[in-house]
Amino acid sequence: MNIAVMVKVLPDDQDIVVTADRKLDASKAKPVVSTYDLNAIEAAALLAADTGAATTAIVAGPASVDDSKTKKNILSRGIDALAMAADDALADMDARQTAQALAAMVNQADGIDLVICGDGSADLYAQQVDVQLAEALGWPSLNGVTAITAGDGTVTVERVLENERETVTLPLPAVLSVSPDIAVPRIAGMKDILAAGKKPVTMYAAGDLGELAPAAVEVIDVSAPEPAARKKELFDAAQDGELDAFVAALKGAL
Amino acid sequence: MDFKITDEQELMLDNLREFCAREITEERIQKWYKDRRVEPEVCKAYLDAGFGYLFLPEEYGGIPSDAVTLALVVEELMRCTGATMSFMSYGLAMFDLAEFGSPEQVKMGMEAYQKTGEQCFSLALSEPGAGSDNMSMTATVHWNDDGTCVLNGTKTMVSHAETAPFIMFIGKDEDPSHDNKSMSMFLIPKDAEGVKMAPLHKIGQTITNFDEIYFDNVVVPQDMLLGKKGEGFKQLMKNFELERIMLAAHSLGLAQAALEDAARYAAQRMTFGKPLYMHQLIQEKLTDMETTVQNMRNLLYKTAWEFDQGMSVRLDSALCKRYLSSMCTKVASDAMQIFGGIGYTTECRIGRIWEDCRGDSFAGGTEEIMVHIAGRQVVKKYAADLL
Amino acid sequence: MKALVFAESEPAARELSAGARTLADEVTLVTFDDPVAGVADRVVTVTVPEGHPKEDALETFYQVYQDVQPDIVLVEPTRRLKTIAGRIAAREGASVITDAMALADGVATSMYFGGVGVRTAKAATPVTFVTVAPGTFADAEPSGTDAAEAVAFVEPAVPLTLVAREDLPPAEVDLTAAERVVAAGRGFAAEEQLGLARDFCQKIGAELGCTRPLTESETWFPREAYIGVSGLILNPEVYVGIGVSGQMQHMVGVDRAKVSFAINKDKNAPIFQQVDYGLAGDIADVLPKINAEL
Repeated sequence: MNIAVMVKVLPDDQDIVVTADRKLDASKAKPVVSTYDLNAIEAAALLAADTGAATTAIVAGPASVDDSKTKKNILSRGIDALAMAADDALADMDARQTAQALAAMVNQADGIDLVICGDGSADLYAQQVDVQLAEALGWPSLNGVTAITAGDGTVTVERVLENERETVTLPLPAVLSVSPDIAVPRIAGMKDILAAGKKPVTMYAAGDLGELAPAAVEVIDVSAPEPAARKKELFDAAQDGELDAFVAALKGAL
Repeated sequence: MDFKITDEQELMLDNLREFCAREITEERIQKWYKDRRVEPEVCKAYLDAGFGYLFLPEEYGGIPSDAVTLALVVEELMRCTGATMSFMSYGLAMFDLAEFGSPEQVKMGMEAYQKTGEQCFSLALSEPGAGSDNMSMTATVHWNDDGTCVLNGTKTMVSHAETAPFIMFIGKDEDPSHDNKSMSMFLIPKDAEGVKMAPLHKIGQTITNFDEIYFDNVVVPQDMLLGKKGEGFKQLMKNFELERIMLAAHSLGLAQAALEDAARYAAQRMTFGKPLYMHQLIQEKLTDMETTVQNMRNLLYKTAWEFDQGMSVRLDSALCKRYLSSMCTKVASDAMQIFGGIGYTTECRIGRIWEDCRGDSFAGGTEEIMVHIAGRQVVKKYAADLL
Repeated sequence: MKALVFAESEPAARELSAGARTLADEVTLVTFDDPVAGVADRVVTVTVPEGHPKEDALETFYQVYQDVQPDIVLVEPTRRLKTIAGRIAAREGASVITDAMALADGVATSMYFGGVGVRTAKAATPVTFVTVAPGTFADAEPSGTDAAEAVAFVEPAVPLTLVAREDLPPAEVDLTAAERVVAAGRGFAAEEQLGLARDFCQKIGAELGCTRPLTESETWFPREAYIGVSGLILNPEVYVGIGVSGQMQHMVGVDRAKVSFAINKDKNAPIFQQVDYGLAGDIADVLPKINAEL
């Protein structure tokens, strides 16, 4: 079996600065792997270790995603190979455009049986790349997956929805979006970190992926929210009477 | 000059921070300081994540590494935890054993290390009458004709004595007199007959247990000899320079933790209607602390780099050990001053950091012994023609 | 304007249909199994045959979509409907805007980077697809006929096999409806300590939720108790965070509280900058005292 895991590389939100006009400046932010994609990578790596499958991570984004540390980070987590399209023509893609770029790379990787996506990206959390990708590939898909078992030309998954739990069998090839609960991302071993730089990486330019569809969503504005006005009164329980003052404030609000 | 660290080193440090965030909570640290040990499960997790295999020979599952990487890891571990996490000494002990031990001894040590992730042996070196002055030791090894040896003596300030399954004992062959340079090392089980220990209570670094060990006619087979008969002292000195570099990294990490705690406190604490850091006396302290910590780091990294290049670090490792171990206490002390009275309580970790830093002045050779080593080297460096 | 509503639950069917009514003059609701009366002009029900997961209703939903030819599709933000609506949008060259907290003139407001930013966006395609968070149309009144029709299930090209299905135990709490909400965070060292928080909740008549670590790394709470960016976004009158550090990912879930309180051991915890009243103190020490005073 060949497993591909879709990974978004985006600015570290710890480094995003709110400017004076409440815009978000990510220009100084380091690229990092989107949080829940780490769980998807872990799920892919564990499934591959179970089944002897080969794993490829696939990334598409602006030129800034081509970061040597981030690439090694991905490859230190039990993933065999990386395919990456890093091109400013691929900046600010919506879910549909992202899925199209990824679908082109899945098709070019040849022989992929199972695509695994994370629960949602750290920035948009739209939870739409998995279904857009499934539609682009013409494959079935399921989300909310908490466990995967490989069968003969199938996978059987457990999934948790809002009010129910299911076990479903999908014929391969298929797309799965995994819940963060599926696996805790590993702390990569030192040996795996040292070996990561030696693993195969295939780089693509936007032109290799066919013509990108026009944006399906037009972004009007992104700004930092106005902070709620809070009193920020701090009482110290170690000081006489301050605990009582806190309780009095609490009683006043009830 | 290149101060950039590699992707691999950055990833290791990222992973180390994640490890600390998951496994080493402040509550746990406080418990470990009370218990005089780190829970074996956490030691094991640290080893299994690979950190504990750095620098060990590959044939024993080790990961080729260098002193710079090891120093970065030690520094970050102390910075993240603000505690004397002695994991790195566990690995260094194994490194020593791999160098001098017979294949059987290394295998035995490695099995013990891999089982719990804890240090596999304690080093019984210092004596009540012989600290840095190792030649004054009076512990003896008597060689019998029947293939056994008898070990006698009192060893003190032995770190990890209660938790390590083995003891590395060093004593003088037959004759305890000062001039006898023939010493032998043994790797013996902690529970060998005639071995007794009693805890010593340090004021800081209590996360590492510390004991006096009494060897009363301990009879051991001669194949417990570690390395060569009579060459114990030479062996002992072999890895001291690397040890000094790692102790300095320990000092640096604690100083960095103290500095960060102080800066964060100064940013939030309000006095006389403004944040503490807006007072110039506090700004001066923070400025000097930052300069000191940067100096500490530069000297450490340079020394570690020289070590990796195969250059002699006889002088620089001693300078490094002396400078960093004294400066970390200064930085921690200034940090405590910024905290004010609360810094002198157990409400925040700055007191613990200060206590631990103070201990670095003694660990692995006192600051004065470092002068003893370095002073003559300085003259050699600049006035060799006059000697 | 024609609006199409996809909903699984009755409350969402009502709210989204009511919202759709404010945007369009013709509202069609598609739901599973049982129709919801009086909320739409036309209610279409889809019954999925046994042995299929409900996602296999994609082709059936798509047939209704093609039949209605809507201008806007309002979708309940459930996992199943995100798949069905997402795939229909993909076929139409569109993309679903998810988890909108507000929707006005086709412009949807949603969170960016878990609350670091707020994003406004609209469809660049002829049809708008949007999943709408509960409460967005809370003020709109539904109206409609009782006309309901069941459509025949259309078999998908690649059917999936439902092996097993069970209802999750019903949520013990409904935090979305609670006026007073208490959140427990990492400051709780042991599960037993939560008893203090439960006592506190009883005293002030609040429901107890938690931050993400308490459902993920510790399994002290059911998932539906998790407050924050990928969990619940609440509108309580009173919020009290206990042992909560104040990370953005959690705070976006309670930022809209009218009055907020925090108890934390660490005076420097970021949460104290984000609440009205803070108390610095150890949970084990201060909670019993507070409970005694209430």
